[in-house]
Amino acid sequence: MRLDILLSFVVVLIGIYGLTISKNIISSIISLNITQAAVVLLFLSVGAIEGGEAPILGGFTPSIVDPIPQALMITAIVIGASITAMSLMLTIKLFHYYGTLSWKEIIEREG
Amino acid sequence: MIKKILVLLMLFTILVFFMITISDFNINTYTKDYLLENGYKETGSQNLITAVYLDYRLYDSIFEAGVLLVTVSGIIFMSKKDDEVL
Amino acid sequence: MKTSEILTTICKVLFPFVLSYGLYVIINGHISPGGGFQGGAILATAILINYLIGIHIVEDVGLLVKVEKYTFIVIMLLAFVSLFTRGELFTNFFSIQSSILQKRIFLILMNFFIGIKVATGLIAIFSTFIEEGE
Repeated sequence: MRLDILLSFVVVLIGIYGLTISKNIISSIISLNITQAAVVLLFLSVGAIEGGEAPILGGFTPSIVDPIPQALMITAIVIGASITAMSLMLTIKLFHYYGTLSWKEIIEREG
Repeated sequence: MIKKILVLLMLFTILVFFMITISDFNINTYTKDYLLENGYKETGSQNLITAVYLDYRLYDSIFEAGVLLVTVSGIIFMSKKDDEVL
Repeated sequence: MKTSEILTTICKVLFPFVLSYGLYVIINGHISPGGGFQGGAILATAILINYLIGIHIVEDVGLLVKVEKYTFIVIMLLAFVSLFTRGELFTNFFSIQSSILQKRIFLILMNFFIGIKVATGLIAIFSTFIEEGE
């Protein structure tokens, strides 16, 4: 049983729980970010080994961590930043139109 | 209140299934060994992460740059419309 | 609100160092830790530090988007060259038997263009938010 993988999956579930119960749009976006960071942590801990170095040749020890999850996570980080920027701009537009950031009020006013 | 308890129960179920899944978890190191042996010769990069995302998986990083471009144009498009929900 | 003298001086001193560090990370992305995405983010930080002290360094966001578009087209064309030289899509355009120094040319070019693209994209996003807030 790998305890670090289990712990990062618990953080993923914390993010999903925040998404389900949040009443404010900003806290939903923050929960989405927590989930994304936890997925990055999950992938990195799958590839990690004990005493492994960064995957750059020319070091002293021959044991390196797995480079493929790290190369995948570069992509995931940039796309996460894009999603956050897009949703923040949509939130600004919603606030200018409705004057509130609560999910419930916006849904009620929309009918 | 009942909604929160139900959500917690659902997430706990997911956690239990995940624990069962990773109980016999072992990592194979075929790709890591291959990259350690041939990565420098095939791509010319000492940094193996750069070797992966600029040679073996260039398809991935190109379209990821495309996603960033689409995001920038979407944000500028939305900011030009004044006080109007799309 | 008036910005303090210390912040202004530190930002002005720090600006060229952060800029050259970002370029170093981009150019040496195949030897040391770093690469196009990370170095581009550092470059964008160096430019955006000027907003802290009240200098509006970006006048026209459309120009930045134009630069980003053309850089993306250049990246696509560089990746397509390998279809004619090596026979497969989206890989290095030197053949697999060529020397390591030749293969590094492709890596440096690709890292450089991706760095420029990510830096202009992040600057455009941030300055759009600044304009929206005013």
